[in-house]
Amino acid sequence: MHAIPELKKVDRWTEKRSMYGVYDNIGILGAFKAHPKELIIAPCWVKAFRGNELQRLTRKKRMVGDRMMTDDKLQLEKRVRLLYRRYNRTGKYR
Amino acid sequence: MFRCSVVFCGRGAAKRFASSFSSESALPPNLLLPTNLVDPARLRRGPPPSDSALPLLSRCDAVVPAHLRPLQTWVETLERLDAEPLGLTELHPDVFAAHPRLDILHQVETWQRNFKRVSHAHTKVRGEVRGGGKKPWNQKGSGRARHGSIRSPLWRGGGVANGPRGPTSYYYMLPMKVRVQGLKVALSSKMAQDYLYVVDSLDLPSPDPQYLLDLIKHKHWGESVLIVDVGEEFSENILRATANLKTVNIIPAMGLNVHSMLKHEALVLTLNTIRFLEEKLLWHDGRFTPLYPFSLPYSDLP
Repeated sequence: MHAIPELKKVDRWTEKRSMYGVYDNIGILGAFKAHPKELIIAPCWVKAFRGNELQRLTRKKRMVGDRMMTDDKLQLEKRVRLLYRRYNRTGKYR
Repeated sequence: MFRCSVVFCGRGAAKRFASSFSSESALPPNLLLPTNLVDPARLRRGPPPSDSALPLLSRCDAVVPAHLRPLQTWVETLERLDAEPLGLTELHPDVFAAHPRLDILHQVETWQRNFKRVSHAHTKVRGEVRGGGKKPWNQKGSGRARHGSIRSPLWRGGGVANGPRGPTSYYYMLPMKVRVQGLKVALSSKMAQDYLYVVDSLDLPSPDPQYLLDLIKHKHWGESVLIVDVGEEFSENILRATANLKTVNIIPAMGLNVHSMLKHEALVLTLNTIRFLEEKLLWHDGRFTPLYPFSLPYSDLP
């Protein structure tokens, strides 16, 4: 094979790329009426929250659990049960 | 025909030169130029001399420390293509002559990229994949390897063992003073590298984008320009001129951030923006630690 694949042509100045990061300092420069965490577009249980899988799933169950589909709820509970046992009963750091 | 290629490594840049035919006058297509090349046309104008005849259009409102002097820069105008600077303005040294802390710039830039990041990569585990509850064949006797379900990670079509799980967020907040210092360092770096320009107001004579491009080319501002102004209203001419331009962008002063300053080569501020930024950024130097969040009322917020 002698073909050198062509580099993909990336436009570095699209609207999204040139306006990236605007309003990230809206708190400091905007009299603290808004917080940059309000800029995040994400499901509500993950917005401005960082945690491992167990923490995310339990937060999802608390916030959104009563309007989840039954199959999804069941899988969530199974996963929570598994992760609880794995984090708290197995391994070196329990 | 012979091919000659000379490779030498400079002090921070690599320049590779390959010319296949010796009688070629055009630049070779795979020429790599170092990124720190200086455009000699930009070096002609220096900082304003201390005995310049132009008027001082605006002074620093905030108190300048006794051991520092305010910086001075030209104030340009966008009205005419080849106008002389209108006057001088003072810039606070703590905001526009801060120490060039590259590590703080790196921290703030990575924070800006990551705190909004939510990765939606998700894979199904063996328990979530449809099927696979029944043991496929008996433990002993069939001659095949022993398995408990057809959806274990060993199987084709089975679940992923340690894959990405659900929407993951990478949110964290840097301390407020670090973010403020990042803004100050970015502004100081632009100032120090002669990429900061001050304009009295953003009044263009016509809404033509070509006029703006000619102005930038004539004044040697750079390839990409970020224009910042205070206030919610912008004049229609500047909005129409920058609407279809990719590398010339206009943002309100509340949207100023380190990533945009690093992305665009030149930064154009108005006099009102400079006063606004100095007021907002210098307040953090002498504030008390908050007993309750700043979103609740304080008597001395800027």
